[in-house]
Amino acid sequence: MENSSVSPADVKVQLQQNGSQQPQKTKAQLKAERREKQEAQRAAKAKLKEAQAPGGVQKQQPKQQQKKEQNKPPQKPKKKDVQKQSDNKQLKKLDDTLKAPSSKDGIFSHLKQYDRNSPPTSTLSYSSSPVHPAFVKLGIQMARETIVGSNGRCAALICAVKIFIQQYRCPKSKEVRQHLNIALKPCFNYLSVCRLFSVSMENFVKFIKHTISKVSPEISLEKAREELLSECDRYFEENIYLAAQAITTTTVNRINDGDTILIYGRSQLILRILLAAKKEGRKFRVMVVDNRPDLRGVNACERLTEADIPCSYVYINSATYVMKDQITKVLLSADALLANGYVLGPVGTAMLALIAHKYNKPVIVCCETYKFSERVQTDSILFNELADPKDMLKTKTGAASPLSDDADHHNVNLVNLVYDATPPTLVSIVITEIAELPCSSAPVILRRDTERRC
Amino acid sequence: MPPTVLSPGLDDDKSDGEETTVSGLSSGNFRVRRRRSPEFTPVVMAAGCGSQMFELSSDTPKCMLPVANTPMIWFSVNYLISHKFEEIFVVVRRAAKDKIEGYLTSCIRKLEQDVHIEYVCIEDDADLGTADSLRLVAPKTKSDLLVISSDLITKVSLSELANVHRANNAALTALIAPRYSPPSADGRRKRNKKDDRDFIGLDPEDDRILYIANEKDIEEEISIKRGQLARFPHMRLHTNLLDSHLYLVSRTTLNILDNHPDVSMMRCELLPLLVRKQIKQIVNTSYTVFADRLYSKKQDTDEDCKHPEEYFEVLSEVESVGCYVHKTQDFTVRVNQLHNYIKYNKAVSENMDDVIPQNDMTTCDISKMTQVGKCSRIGNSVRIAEKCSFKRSFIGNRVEIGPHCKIVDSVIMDDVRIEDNVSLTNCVVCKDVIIRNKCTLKDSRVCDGFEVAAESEFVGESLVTDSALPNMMTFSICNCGHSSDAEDLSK
Repeated sequence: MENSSVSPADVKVQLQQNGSQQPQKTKAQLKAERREKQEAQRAAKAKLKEAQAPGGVQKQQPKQQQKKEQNKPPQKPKKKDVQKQSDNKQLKKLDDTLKAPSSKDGIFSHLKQYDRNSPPTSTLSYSSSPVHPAFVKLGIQMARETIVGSNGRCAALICAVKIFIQQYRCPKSKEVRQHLNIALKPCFNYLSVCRLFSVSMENFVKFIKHTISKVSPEISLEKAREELLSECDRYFEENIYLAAQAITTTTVNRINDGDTILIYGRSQLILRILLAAKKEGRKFRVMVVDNRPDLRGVNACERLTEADIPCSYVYINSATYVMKDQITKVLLSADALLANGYVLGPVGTAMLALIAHKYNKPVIVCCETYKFSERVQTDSILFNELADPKDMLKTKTGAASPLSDDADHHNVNLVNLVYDATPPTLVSIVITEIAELPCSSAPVILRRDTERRC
Repeated sequence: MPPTVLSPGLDDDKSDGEETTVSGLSSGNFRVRRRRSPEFTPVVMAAGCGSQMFELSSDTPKCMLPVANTPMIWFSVNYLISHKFEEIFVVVRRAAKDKIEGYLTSCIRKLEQDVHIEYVCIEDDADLGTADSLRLVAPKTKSDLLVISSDLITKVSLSELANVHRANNAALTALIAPRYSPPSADGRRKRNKKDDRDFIGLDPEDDRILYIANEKDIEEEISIKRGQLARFPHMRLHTNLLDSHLYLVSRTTLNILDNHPDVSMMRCELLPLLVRKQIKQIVNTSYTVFADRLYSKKQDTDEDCKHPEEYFEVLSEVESVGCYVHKTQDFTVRVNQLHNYIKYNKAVSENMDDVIPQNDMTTCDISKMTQVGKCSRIGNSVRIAEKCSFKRSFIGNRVEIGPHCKIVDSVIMDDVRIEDNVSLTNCVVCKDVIIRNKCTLKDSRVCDGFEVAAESEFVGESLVTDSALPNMMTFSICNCGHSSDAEDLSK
């Protein structure tokens, strides 16, 4: 670029650059050069950013980890720690397998999809894994749904914890109350990877952790073991065994002669109540409502017929028809009672409660107090469990389901929900072993529990 | 009288991570690192006398017979090591112990893992079966046992088998695989009439064993009790499956072994006993079917269950005797019969290529004029002269082969000398054999130390030295009551 006239600015530039032997440039030329340089630098920076984009995020994480490590007190390298580090590595591997498929995009994409046939046992070693064999077994049995039902799963967990405590040996330098909790942690982690914990299991885990932390460091290992085992037994006895008896006596009083009671699926507690009522001589009929894919109501029907209780069996899509005229009461069981009064039950419970409410039939929910949870939830989507979607393709005769052609299509998302939440307005009364409460009294029970613990 | 299994040999109160002393029937005491009793303890049954291959195993223990140029026992031990077991029990005969121990120790030294092998010895003349060996091993450990036979070569994933065992809280879980048959040219599968079949009846829903017997033990009919049919109306009877002798055995089975001291063999006696017990227990007690699985009725009855274990019977070990199978499609063979030996050599060489330790070809001196086929394997320190041809054959270590030999579909073991112009087809040549020139052998077996005279022709014969003859006669008569091919045994 050449300038025709010479401006005073150019003269100044020339005067300043007298010493150097560079060719004299005008201000505009310099500006242009600078602009070119800047653009070249910008382009280079953009390229660098692209190359580093995946690496750039990682750089931040090690920084955070370093900070955390600095905060931990320095540990002497002992044999236990080496083992623990390898345990932690194994745990991390476990956590990685957890990242396996969540549901496809959509409303349930925040929930993990559990697959029955691929529990994460392939990474566990047979000889020295941090997860005790009793828990490995339990995890597989839960994943394959050999063990079902909230009471059953809790009882199974209690058994596994008891076996663990019986075989537990505390290293000499550590206290039982700290080390046992740490030793149990990978077991619980593994279980939750196999199948989501039910509320009953979560509450037991809280209880046992609390009890362990209260073990006095002065008593011997044998005594500590005895204490813990008896605490486990006491938990079972109070919360499951005796509670069931109390609920049964209360509910039986509510069953009158000539009643037709609607039950849903197969619940151990509800069946127990009905059998006890029959024993007392009440004359009533039962309508069993069932739902796919598990079809557990069939077994409930078998048990009731064996006990000579007249029962009918319907599928859930005819619940409206049946509810209108024939039913006098609805008896439901709960997997959990949430702090805002919502009842968590097997999927389909909310629908039945709604239909019953419409036709003004009383809905009675039977729930032990240990199943009360501090969680708050108003719908079934926020927090739920997704079971194996392939179960939706099961048909009774074994023929191919009409869905099976489209099941793998990218627009089709098979969802097999396990729980659903029933609003408290639809429930007439909740029968627990302490009292008969309205749904909204759940926080009172929770407060009582926290007070008892302290 | 075999020792009882109920008394655990280990001390309960040692604290975590300390070393405990374990003394066994084998040499003295050794220190064992014990963190916690492992979930499964593997037991390799290597004390078999090779009754169905007695011509080959007169001098060598059967588990050391080579398959694809590697001793058989390598495959099972390597399988266990690759699944990261730290302690393995190997049941051996006292006479064979040194050979096996020497071989395995040298193998393990090459691997990086820390594996401890404990040898449980059986006296040479003792007529103990596999169940008796279990009784010997059981007091040494508190965990469930993983019983694997030394002649099993498999690729199956152990975690799947273990999951079946855990999910059902089984007393015994067996691995079942379709019998291996090489892909034939016309695509059809022909059943080899010499294979003795297993009759395995399974419940199609959950793979429970309802009936199991070997062809030899069935006289004319199979009888099924009515009570069993009432409880299990569907049973699928398979005859084309191989019971691969890989069992996961729980402690309840070992307790049952204690109560039945006359049970001596696992496959012939223990397995049918367990299955019968299982059926009886289910038929007699009240179980209901719930979600297609058996579920105890105790929960719902008026008998109140005060303890969680009663409430939940699956976890308690008191009664349940469940026998399950895991069916797999992975490559599985049992090398225990003579007519299959060469066939399985080839199959293993093809399918298990990644597992077989490769050998150093630089020690061999193979003349350039010979043709070595693709499927053949050659051992160490082999000298082959010119104008030989090898097709689908396996040659052991330190073999010398003269010129103009033709070897097809054969297995030649270590330290053999073959002179010139020899033709071998479908033969098994054992150790220390000398085959003089111009011999033709077809479908034959040459046993240890034999010397085949020059210019001899044999078709379908077993050639045995006089010194080995009395051993072989006892083999062919004893064991399981079945006789193998008894051909011309003397030459």
